[in-house]
Order: sequence, then C-alpha cells, then structure tokens
Amino acid sequence: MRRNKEALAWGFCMALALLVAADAQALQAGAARIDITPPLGAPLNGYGARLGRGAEDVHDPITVRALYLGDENTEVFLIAADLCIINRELRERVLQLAPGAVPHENIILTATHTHNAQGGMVESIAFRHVSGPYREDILDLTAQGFSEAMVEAYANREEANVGFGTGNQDTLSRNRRVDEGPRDSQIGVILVEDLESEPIAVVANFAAHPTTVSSEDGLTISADYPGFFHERIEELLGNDAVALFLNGAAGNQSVDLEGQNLEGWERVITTGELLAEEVYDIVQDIEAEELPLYFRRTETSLPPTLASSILPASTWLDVLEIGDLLLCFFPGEPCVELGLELREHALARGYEAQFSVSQANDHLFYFAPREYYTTSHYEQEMSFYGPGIADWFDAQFGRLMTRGQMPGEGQPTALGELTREDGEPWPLGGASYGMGRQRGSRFAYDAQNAFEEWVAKPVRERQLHPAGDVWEWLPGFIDPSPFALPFLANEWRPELDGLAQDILDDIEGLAMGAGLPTDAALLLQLAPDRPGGASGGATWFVTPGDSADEEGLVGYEFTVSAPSSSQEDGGGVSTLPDVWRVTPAEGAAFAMVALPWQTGTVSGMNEHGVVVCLEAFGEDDEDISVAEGRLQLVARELLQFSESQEEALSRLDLEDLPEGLRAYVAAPGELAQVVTFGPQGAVEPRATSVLPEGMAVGPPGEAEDDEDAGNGEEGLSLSAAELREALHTRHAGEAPADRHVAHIVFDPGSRRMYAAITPAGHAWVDWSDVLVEPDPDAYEEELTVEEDAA
Amino acid sequence: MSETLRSFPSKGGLKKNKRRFGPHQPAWFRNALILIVAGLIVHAIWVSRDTTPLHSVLPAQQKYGVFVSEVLPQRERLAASFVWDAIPGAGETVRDLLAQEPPVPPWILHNILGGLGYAAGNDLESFDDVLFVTRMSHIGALLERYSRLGPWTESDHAGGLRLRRLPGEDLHYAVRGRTLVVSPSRDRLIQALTLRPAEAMTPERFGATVEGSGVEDAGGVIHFDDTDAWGGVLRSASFALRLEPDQADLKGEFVLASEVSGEWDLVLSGLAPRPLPPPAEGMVQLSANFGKPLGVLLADVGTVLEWPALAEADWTAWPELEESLELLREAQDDDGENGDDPAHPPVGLMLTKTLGALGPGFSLSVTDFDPHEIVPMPELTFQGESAGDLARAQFERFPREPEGASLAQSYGRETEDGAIVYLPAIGGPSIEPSFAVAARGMAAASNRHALRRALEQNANETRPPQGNLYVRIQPEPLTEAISETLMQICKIDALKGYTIESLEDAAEDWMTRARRVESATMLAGQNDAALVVEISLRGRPAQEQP
Repeated sequence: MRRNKEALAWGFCMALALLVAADAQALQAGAARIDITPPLGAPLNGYGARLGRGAEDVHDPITVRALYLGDENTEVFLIAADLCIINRELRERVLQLAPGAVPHENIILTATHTHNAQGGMVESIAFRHVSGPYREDILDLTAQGFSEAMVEAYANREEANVGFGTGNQDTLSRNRRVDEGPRDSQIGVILVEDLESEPIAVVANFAAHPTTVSSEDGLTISADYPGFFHERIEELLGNDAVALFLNGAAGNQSVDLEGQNLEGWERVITTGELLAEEVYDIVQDIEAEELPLYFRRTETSLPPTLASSILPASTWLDVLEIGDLLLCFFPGEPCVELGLELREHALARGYEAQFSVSQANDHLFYFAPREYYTTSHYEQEMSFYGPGIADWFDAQFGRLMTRGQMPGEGQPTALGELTREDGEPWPLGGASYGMGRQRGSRFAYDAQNAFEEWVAKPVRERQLHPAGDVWEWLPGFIDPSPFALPFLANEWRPELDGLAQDILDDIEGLAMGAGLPTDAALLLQLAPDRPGGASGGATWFVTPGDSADEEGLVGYEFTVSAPSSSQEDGGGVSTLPDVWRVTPAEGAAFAMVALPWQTGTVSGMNEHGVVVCLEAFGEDDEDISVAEGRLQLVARELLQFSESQEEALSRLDLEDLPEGLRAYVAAPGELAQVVTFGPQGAVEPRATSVLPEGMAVGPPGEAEDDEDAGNGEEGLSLSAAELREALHTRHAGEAPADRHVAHIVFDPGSRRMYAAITPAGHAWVDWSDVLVEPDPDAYEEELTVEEDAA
Repeated sequence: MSETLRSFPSKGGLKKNKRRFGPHQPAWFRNALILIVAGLIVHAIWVSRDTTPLHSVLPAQQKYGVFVSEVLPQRERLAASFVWDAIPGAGETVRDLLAQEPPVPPWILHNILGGLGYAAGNDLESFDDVLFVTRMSHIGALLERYSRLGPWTESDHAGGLRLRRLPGEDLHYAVRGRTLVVSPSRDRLIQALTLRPAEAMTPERFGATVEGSGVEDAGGVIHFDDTDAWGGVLRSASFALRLEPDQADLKGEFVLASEVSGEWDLVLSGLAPRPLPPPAEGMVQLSANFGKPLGVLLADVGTVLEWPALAEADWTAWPELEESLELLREAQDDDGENGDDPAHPPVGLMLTKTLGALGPGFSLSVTDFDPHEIVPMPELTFQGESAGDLARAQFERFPREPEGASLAQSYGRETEDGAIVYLPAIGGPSIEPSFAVAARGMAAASNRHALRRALEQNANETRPPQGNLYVRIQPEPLTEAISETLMQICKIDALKGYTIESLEDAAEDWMTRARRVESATMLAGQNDAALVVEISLRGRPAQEQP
C-alpha cells in the first residue's frame, strides 16, 4: 500500500515536471534541405527567350529547404525552394505528398525566384512559352523533394529559440525600372537556435531578382545567387544549420553590385556571398528566445481581371507572426512599393519588423503600384488585377494580422443608390472614386453589356486587336480574347498618362461599381466604334459677346447611335446620354453630358463658366477614336480643375492628339477659342456667331425664307430661348429614328445650362434648366479607393 | 390371256373437284373457269410486259445520272455498314431509314422498287427536276395497276399520257410496261414520256453508265457547268460506291474545269501514276510522287497559289559546310535587321536547303503526338528519295553548331553515333528538327527519337500502289490527338463555341465514331485528263471497339 502511494507520488511529480518542462519550452524547430536538381534536358523556368529548351548543364544544385516551427498553438512548415515560382500544379502535388504532421493549410510554400531552375510544371499552354514543355516526371521529382524536406525537418525538430533582426544594404540591389526609383534596403533575418544556442536555421529576406546568371549560361541549371548565399551562410554558421532564402518585394528590384565590375558566374557567386556576410553580421546581434507563433491563411477572391481566362479568380494569402515580427506572403511578384507601404503600415501598427515574401503558394505574376498604371513598364504589363492591387493587399493582410486595423479604420463607407428627381440631372458628389463607383453600380447592366458589345465582341471577331499580324493569322476556331484583351489594355493604358488622378479614380470606381476590371472600363472609354464619341455626330456653334445675354451663348448638338434593342427588350445597351451635375470633393462643380458608363464627357460647363465642347471631323479611324476617348477624359478633367479659359486651354496639348479633332472652349467675358489638334494644330478665337447649316432662327415657317438665318451666317444675336428653339428646327420635329439627340445651350454668364436629350424617334423633350454651382446635398458620404479596398 | 380383275382407287382430285365445284357443276363451267384464269394470266403477262426500256424515258442531256442497285433487297447489308456510325448526323439517319420496316409490306416494295433504279436531272441545288426510273417485276406492275382501283393514287389524264400522282404528295408517276417513271415535277415527267428517240439516252450510253450495277451499290456521273457551285473547279465527276459491313470503297474520276487545269498545269502537266515510297507507320501517312524534285514541286505550288514564301525560296542544296554556316549567319542577321525576333532560327532556310533537292518520291507521316510540348505537337517523319550521294552530301553540309554560338541561334548538333543531326529549336525534345541519311535518300523528323524509330522501321515497309498521292489515316489516334489539343485550347477559353464540358461531350462522340473506322485510305493519280481517286474505309466491328 505504501509502495503504491510512493509510486503515485513519483508519478505525480514526474507529470508535474513534464508539464513544467513543456510549459518552460513550448517552441520546437527543425530544418532540412533536399536536393531536387532535375536531370539534364529538363525545361527551365523564367525566360521566354529560352524558347522552352531543356537544360544542358548543371552549375550548382537546386534544393528545397524546410523549416518546421511549432508551439502549443501553432505549427507551420515554411518551405523555400530554389525555383522560379510556386505554381498551382506543384502546390497541389506537394500537398498530396506532404506528411500529416502539420495541417496542410499551415504549409507555406515559397520560391526564391531563380530563373535557372526547373520549369515544366505548368500544364496550361498559356504559360509554357516561359515555363517550358509540361513534364510530369519533373513535377513528381520536385514535389517529392518538398515532401522529403518536410518529413526530415519534422523528424529533426527539437526545443528551440527564435529571434529576428534587420540590417540595411546600400550596394546589393537597385530599382531596375526607374533610375533612382524606390528600393528596399532592408535585409531581414530570422535565427532559429537550439537550447545550446547552436543554429538550427537562418532565414533571410532580401528583395532582388535572382537573374544574375548570364544569358550565355541560360541553359545551365543554377540556384542563382540564393544558392551561393545558402552555401556561404551555412559555412559561416556551422552546425549543419539550414539556410532559407525568402525573396522580398522584388518585382522591380535587381541585384546591383555597385562598383564591382563582375561578369559571369563570379557575379552570381559574389552576390550570394556578400548577402550571406551581411546576414551573418545581423545574426550576431540577434538574441534568440521563445517567441509566440501566429499563423493565419485565407483563400480570397481577387479583384476582377481581363485575364480571367488564364488566371485564377481567387488565391491564398498567408501571414506569419513570430513575436513582433510580421511576415506577409504574396502569391506573385510585388513591386517594392507594395512591400515598403505594407512595412510602413505594419510598423505603425506596432510590429517591430515586417518582411514581405514573394512567390508564395501561387503565381499571379506581378503586382504593380497605382502610379505605374499608365506606364508601359514590364511589371505593369504583367500586373493583371488592376491599379488598386496595392490597396487590396494592404487591406487583405490587414485583416489577417493580429494587429490588423489601425485606429480609425473601419468598415468602408456605404454609398446609397444613385437616384434623381424626374427631369433633373443625376447628382454626383464626393471623391472621384466614389462617384465612379456609384455610377458604375447604378448602370452596371449597361456597362457590362457595352463592354461586351464594343470591346469583347470585336476582339473575339478580330475587328479589334493589339498591334501585330499574329492576331490575324490565328485560325478561325480560336478566340483570341484571353490574350488580346490584356494586351490591348497594355497598349492603350499609356493613353491615360498625364491625366489627373481623379480621372483615373473615377474610371477605377466606375469599373468596380459595374463589376468589371479597371482595364475593361479603360478599353470601353477608348474603344473604336463605341457610341458616345463626338464622331458620332456633333456640332457646336456660338454667339459670343454680342448676344442678348451679355456673356454670349454656346449651343451644342450631339447625337449618339441607338442600338436596335434596348434594355427594356431584355438585351442591348442604353446609349442615351444624360446630364450629370457633379460636385467633386476637389476642384470645381460642373455639369456635363455623358453616357452613364463612361468617365469622359463631350460637353459641359463648370461653376466658373468654363465651357468645353468636342467635335470629331476627320476620317473615322481607330487612332482618332482612341485619341478622342482620351480627349473626352481631358474635357472632364478641365471641367473639374479649370477656373478660367486660359487654364483650360493650357490643359489641351495640341501635339499630343491626331488631326481630326477639335475642342471648343468658352468662358464668361472671353472670346471663345477653337482648338484644332494635330500637327497643324492651332488655337483660334471665334469672334462672330456661327450657326451650322440647316439651322433656322425665327418662328417656324419663316426661317427658310430668312436670308439672314442658317448656313453659316455670322453676326447673329440670339437669346437663349431663341437658340434653344433654333436647335430643334434642325430636325423635323423629332429625333432621327436611329439616333438619340442631345441639345445643349450653355449660358456661361448666368452659369445656366439647358439640355434637351431626346431618345431616337421621339418628339423633342422639354428643356431642363441646370444651375451649375456646388451642391452641398449631392453627397453625404465619400468613398475613396483606400476605403473601398478595405 | 387371262383376265385379271383390277381395282382402280378413286382419285382424290375428283373429290376435290367435287368439293370445289359441286357435284352438279357441268364440265363447261370448269372449262370456262380455266379459260378465264388462263385469260387473266395472259392479260397479266400482256399488260406487264416490258415494252419500254429504261433509257427511252431518260433524256440524253442530263447533268447527273446516278444508279442504285437493288437497295431494298440489300438494305440489311447496307444498314449493317460501319460507315453510318462513323458519319455524324446524316449517317445515323440513313442507317435508321435502311433498317426500319417500310410502311407497306416489303414484298410489295421489292416488286416495285427492287431492281436497278436510276435518277437523273439537271438541277444540282434543289434536285426538284429529278427523274427516277426503275423496272418493276410483273407482280409489281400488276400491283401498281390494281392499286389504281383504291384511294392511294389519283389519275391525271395529262392529254392522254395517263399520269398518276400520290394524293397530298408532290410526286407524279407514270407506268409504261413495267417501267416506272417518277418525278416531283409533272412537267419533267411529261417531258420524259414524250421524248423522241433521238432525244433519249442511247442504250449503249445507259449501259455504260450502269455498268457497275450489281457489283457496286451506287454509281453515276455528274457534269458541271459554270452555273454550278463546283463548276469552277470540275467539269465532271463520276463515282462508284460499294458498302460492306466492314469495308466501304468509293472510286471517283474527276475531270478538272479547263480554268483549273490551266491554272495547275505547272504542277499537273505530264503527270502519270508513279511508284510511291513507303511512308512510316503512323496515324497519318502520306506518300507522293509528282515526277519532279520536291523543291521544284513546292515552288510550282507556290507559283500557282501565289505564295512567295514557296515560290521564291532558294531550293538549291546546301553548299559546302563553311559556306552553309555563312549562309545561316547571314539569314540570322537578316532576321534581326528586319525587326523579327532574332531568337527564332531561320527554319525556312534550314528546310529549303535540306529538303528542296530531294524527290520526286517522298513520304510524310504523323507518327505520334505530344500534348505536353511547348505547344501540342504532332511527331512528323519525312523521307525523301534522292539520287546517288545527294542525301549524304546534304547531311554532311548541314551546318553544325560553331564555337560561341548563342542560345538564340540554332545550329545543327550530331547525336553521339553521328547518324543524326538535329536542330534545337523552340520547345523541348519533341521539337528538334532532325535529319539522317536513309536507305533511299534522306530522312527527317520533328525530333531525333522519331527519326531513329523511322530509320529502324524503314526496311519493313511496303510500297503503296502506284499513283501520285497516297494518304492513309487512322481516325482513332488522330481524333484523340485533335481532341486533346482542342481541350488544351478550351481550358484557356480560347476555343470558340465550346466549354470544357461541351467539348468533352463532343470529343466522346467523335471518339465513338472514330473507333468504328480502323483506317481510311486514299489513292489519287492523274490518268490521261482525269484525276482518279480511290477511297477505301476499313471498318472495325462494333465488338472490337475498346
């Protein structure tokens, strides 16, 4: 009996000791590396110029490295492989083979982004020109290595401490796209030690493309500089420690060994070794301790994209926290701006350090910042999820991290549905993005169908395609849109260069509201043959200064072709233009005539009395049509931001647009100016009244006999009422059967705009009278891009 | 002399007669009845005598004349043909028509439509003026005659021509002797019945047209003129078709329109059937011999089709090796200067210089298919005959990779045994144009592994029959390859008209049909002024399908 009591006491003590011991050291870690060098002949991933050919030589081995980290709450495998990308086929195969020690949703797969390791693991023919022919044997070999690394790392696990630190480098990387552009100088380091302070693993985070292998060695297998980083740091650390390289926000970052004129493999090796030495220096200052782990993953829907046929609609985002260190994992190649902004926000949220890791779990190509949107940078052209992708990531990671929301951050502002009184203009107000979104949401049906009608369908039928003959060579059974649409957006995006951010925000908001990619709204704004262009039939005329209204009047007629079927019939697109009264958060209030699903305008007046009307008079060709789309955006911009005629004229670049377009700019107390674009472009004052042919002034029936009326007659003096009446006399009582007609009379002196927009085949509608001034009731809430991303 | 009593049993016939005619019917009645029956038989034979030959109601000048042989008696054999399973849509309809029970007893149809049928007319678009003639049996003729007593047909006096028509149907007919003449056009029928002998087809010509009947299931000739859709291409086409459950043979003879034959004179002049080289075994096999070197042939084709890339290419053989290298360098530089992607090798130059001097006999086969290449890629094997040491010289002069060549340039490389020179091009190991010296000339393939296999097979192959062009297709692997390629295109939404699901359904249907055909073979040759084409389909019994 006594012996039993003793045994019980001993057992209790042992259990207590075990519990205390477990409580004292919950963190465990283990690491391993496995060689996954493919056989010669394996396709390599990363360069289209390689033509998909197989490897011909091996310079250094390809490895996959696994780090197991676990405490009482969290277990993760962090994997870093000497590969270009983690594509979906590889991810799926790895998870099939992965050991069950750690939940599969806690396996973080990353690639160092070397361009000289095996490809051939992407099945889709859309990407084989870069990744090479699809080889299941290579996929199996590689995935098997991942699995073995995880098994071995788990088997090697032991009680451990972990610490982190950062250092700065000024001579290892540069911005490869913009001279003196932003770069990430941070080198981040995680040190994992056993309880004897011997290193188990070291993780380095550094942002630069591993593309240092020269083109002459393009068919040679190599891990690039990360391979030599691994080799050197492991040599410095000893104890058979395993090094992992996590590439940072390296989309536009290159290696740059400033001042060292190195060639060939020497450049590759030196880069890796220099980085290792920097990392080793940082390691010396790291105090490893027991830090809590936190890991969270989400599978989330991505913003809409024109490349939806070849890219996924959702992806995985991971956040790993080790004490006060935050790691954010991107499923592709973020440009450095995204990483820097995310870090700034993380530090503001109280994290001690933040690492961005690229090429994690998925490969969605590049993620470019908003400011690249109108450029032709390669990173932008390969960035498929819209200009707001940086905000989107910021918001998504913000939700995943433990210190996610900043003070003041909350739910996005909910905008009410856009409504108006009968006969009144549509009221818009607030930030441009919110206004666009409100409009896109209200007219989503039309926007989506307009995109289908004037962009997607012509592309499918090859009436519209990017530059190059290849699109016409494709056999008839091929639908080129999966590639042609994104390429066309790449071609036309620079047309937006130089426009105010408010205009781009409006396009982005309109697209978001309509459920379209931003590129779709862009293409719709610029597409040839779209309705709503001034080339559809526009004319303007003026009675400056000498009219009954002291400041002169501007009359404008604008016609838009009406589709054969309407929304009411269950199909088609509404092309009826409408009047919008806009009170933007920034700039002047204005009224404009525009189609509901376009950002640009053909005619409008702002609160300063600045009037702009557009006209296209040249041959109807694609160049003019695209240029006119841009001009409509410029017109919208100058309505919002011009306080005077002079300021408005300064925004119109004569040389930048082709011949065949004119703008008319008037303002109170100024002679109206006609701006003709193209090489022979000029700005000419319009000193006298001009009425277009067919317009009659005076009571009906007398006009035709009045020798002073119409046919370009000059020197007329009209009241606004007479001018309105004259506009209707151009047609026989009703709008043509196939066109909607917009009649507008601007009275800049009184800031009044009269509009009569008559649907095709209808009798003239009544004139609406719009006083152009700020409307404080136009909006109560504002919605910005950043808010919406959140 | 003895007298024996003999007993004669009564005869059943008497009893029968007694039963049939009664004991009291007199002999004259019986005799009269026999006479009536005999008279009826004589009348039947008389009215169904064959007084009107088929050709006498067929106009001499017809755009088409087509015979069908005993379709009704043979319909079970025809319905069993694998061909109907292989032809989408219409094939199943025809098979069902052949297989279904007719609305009238078969013996009636056999007696009316059971023999040779002949259709002729001039309208090749609507066939509204088709005239169909056949010879009925005696019984068929009588059935038709007595059917007039019922409501099934209506009389049409037609000025004494005694036409008949089917009520509610746009179908008119007349009977002359045992000859049945049918047409949807009443005017056409009247015209046929009132033909003067000089306007009718001669017996000799009719005999020649239906010469194959009895052996072939169908045959005939079609003449085209400028008003017809095919008139711009063909002057006439004649054909003969025979269907068996596991074999279908179609022989056609085409006379090209003078414009086309003039246009293609450069290629076709002096053409006659020639020995064809054996193509390598594969899902598609082509063998051709146009009597002139391949380069000349392709240049001629390029001239006719106005394709400068073919017509103006320099098809002369490679010069000596150093000059070949220089030629290649110049071409690669030109590509860069012209703004083209310099990474692409001048494949055109490689092909023109290597293949142009070969021929006249050459063969091309699709031996396999790699769906996983950088683009889905058929495996091609080519063999070109050449005289003397030309192939060896070509092989030796093919430019090999010089020192310092960049990745973007393509030069030949030798395999370890030196037997094959291959050209790393775009993609992986399935796209490496390869060349070797073969028994009868030069062999080439889309990759070196295919070429090696082709060289090993070379000795075992048999030549096709003489002709100018021979093509053999194995539909099953070919359909599988095409379906796989389309599926890959479909997966990126780039295939018009299909989703992945609808393509899967369609591909399953294609494969089902393709499996019914083991092979399709075509042999074409120019014979005098006519192009003779023989097509043979070999079926696979349904139970052998995987």
